[in-house]
Amino acid sequence: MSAAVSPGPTTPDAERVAAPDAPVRRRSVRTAERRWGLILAAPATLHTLLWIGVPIIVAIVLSFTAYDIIHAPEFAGLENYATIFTDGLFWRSVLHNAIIAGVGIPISMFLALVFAVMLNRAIPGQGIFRVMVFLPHITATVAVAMIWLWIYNPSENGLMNVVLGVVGIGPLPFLTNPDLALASVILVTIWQGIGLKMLIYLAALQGVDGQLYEAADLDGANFVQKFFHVTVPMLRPATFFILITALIANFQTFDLIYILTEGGPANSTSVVTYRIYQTAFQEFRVGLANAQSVILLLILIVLAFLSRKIVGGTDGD
Amino acid sequence: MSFSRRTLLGTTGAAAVGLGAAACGSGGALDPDVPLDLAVDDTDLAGSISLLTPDFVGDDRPVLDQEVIAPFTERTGIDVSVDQVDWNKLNEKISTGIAGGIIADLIMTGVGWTQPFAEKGIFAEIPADYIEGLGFDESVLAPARFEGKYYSLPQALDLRFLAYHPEMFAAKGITEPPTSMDELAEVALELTGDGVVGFDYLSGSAGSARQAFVFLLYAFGGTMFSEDGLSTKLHEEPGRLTLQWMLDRMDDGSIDYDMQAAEGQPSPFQQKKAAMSLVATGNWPTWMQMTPELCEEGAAGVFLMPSGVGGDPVMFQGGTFISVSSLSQNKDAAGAFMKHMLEPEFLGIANAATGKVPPTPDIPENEEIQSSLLTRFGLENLEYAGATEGGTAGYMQIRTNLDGIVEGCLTRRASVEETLADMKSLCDDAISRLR
Repeated sequence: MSAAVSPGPTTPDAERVAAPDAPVRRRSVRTAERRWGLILAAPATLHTLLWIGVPIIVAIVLSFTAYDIIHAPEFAGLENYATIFTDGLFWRSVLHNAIIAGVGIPISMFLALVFAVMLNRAIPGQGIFRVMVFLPHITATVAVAMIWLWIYNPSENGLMNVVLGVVGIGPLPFLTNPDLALASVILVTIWQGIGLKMLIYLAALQGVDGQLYEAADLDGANFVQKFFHVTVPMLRPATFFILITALIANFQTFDLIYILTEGGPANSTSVVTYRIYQTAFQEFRVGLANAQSVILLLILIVLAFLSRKIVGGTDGD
Repeated sequence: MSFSRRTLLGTTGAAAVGLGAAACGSGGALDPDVPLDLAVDDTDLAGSISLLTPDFVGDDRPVLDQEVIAPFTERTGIDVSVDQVDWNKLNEKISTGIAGGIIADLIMTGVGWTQPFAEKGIFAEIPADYIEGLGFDESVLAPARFEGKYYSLPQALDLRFLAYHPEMFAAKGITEPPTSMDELAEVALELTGDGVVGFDYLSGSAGSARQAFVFLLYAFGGTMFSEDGLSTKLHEEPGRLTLQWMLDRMDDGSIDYDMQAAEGQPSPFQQKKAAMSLVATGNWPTWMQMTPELCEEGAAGVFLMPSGVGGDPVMFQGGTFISVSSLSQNKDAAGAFMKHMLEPEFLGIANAATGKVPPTPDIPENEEIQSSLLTRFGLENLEYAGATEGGTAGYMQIRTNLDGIVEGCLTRRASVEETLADMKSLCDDAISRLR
């Protein structure tokens, strides 16, 4: 498109562009901007390279070695990766992560959205309710796990068993029975995960244009129709972000399992990070643990890609 | 000077590999084959040492600090700092310590731990002539050996056997403790009912499911590994009999897998929800604190695990073993403190606090030890303490995973045959990777 066809309005910028020395000055401005951009981005870039890039490369290198912490690593080729493919416990741990994610994330996202919509309205005590829902997220997981250990106490004195006892159920061994343990862990992840998701949804709700609701009102839409045809679509970018971060957080779950169940009973709550930890620090197989970490990284990349496909990513944000 | 993207990535990669190689080379110089020099006069020594221990928790800790360490520090001027860690976190504590180059000078571990860490060169050799002078029984020294040399010494024994409520026996007209596994099964079933299980064997009040399995394995005439530690025997007939016996007891209701000892609360046996129970000598202080009535004369009875194959009864031997790190920068001082801890006077004081059993009966008269029914019984039957964990240098990897395999069988996630095959596969894999 040429300027002669479409001159457009005359602005100070346009005048500057029209000046004879404009290309030189523009280049120097861009060079200066680029230099400042590089300087400002340098700390974050350096941090990323040093603390994320280097460990990832080291992990990849070590994944091809037999290394037991004490003796020098020896090149082992693809042996560690071959071991992983026959390690039933590793894949059971992946499955447990998938179950926790498949059950826990949708439930916590749904509840977070409900809470966000409710707490987006001007109601008495709105701030207090927001803090209450958000509090589990900012509480240290160690403290959360200790509280739930008490709640899940298998004797009749455990809080959950006291409650169930009222309706004549129990006492149940929540964390020591393999049929109940994973479900019990999922409940904790849901409880702990709602807060941050709600906060993100709340922020996203602030950005939904009120005119859309007015237009829907004019069309005679009821509350449910507005929720599903206005609110939910407008929250798609936030939903994608929440889903990705929740998936990644799910596959990084460690401290909760470490304290609540140590992967037991009968490995029924073992998750990938716990299995990696066991491999490295209980079995002294650091090379294998690094190979497991690389597989975990690949799993997360695939999940992020799939999530983007399913939810539609941030396009249109 | 300009950097292209390729240069930057290449430099980063090289730096990463370099850092990785540097990290892998950490850990200091291992010198496990040079025996400790324990003949050094400890008053000539100086400096400070660290002790990593899974014992001396809570109220026991002041006893360690004030009655065991303080006299040593006063006499020698050597400072001893204590790092306390739970048993189930001890392995990670040691491995992360090695990785970070901050391993303690003295490390206290358990039965079955010596061979793996000796094989890796973490523990320093202890001279045999010093050990001969201690007069410890061969049965308590066996777990301290690796390839004919000693790398640890028992500081405490945690002996396990069975306890029962005499009044529950009397109510059913049972006059004597069972003397065979069949009798034990019959008695357990007879005592089951009215909210009471006959036999609390898996609640965790005296060890994990893995240890419960190993105990019974010996009762059925089995062992975990061959004499040289290079092949497993877990999958053989005694292993099958053991698992089947446990499953049968759960089937008839006399063992309840869901009955668990909640943290900080009395065990099912203490609460009289179990007529018989697996107990450890270390349970006594908890009984004294929570259910003192159980410690009164005649309130509880004890007996050894009967044999399932017509042999002698069996006692399980756990315990705490002390080693000097081969990476210690102050080995002489560490060796001196190990000697100090193994002196009869301090063995008596330390074990009275933890409720465990001194590895030798030759200790000064100690009222707390004498007042413990469990310790007395353990000491009297030390000759039967043949059931021990470990026996191979690959045991730390096996130990970690064996719990899950046993639990998988007990919760019907795997058949007995599958479980035995899994055990064999686990052990073969770990042993095949020994250097």
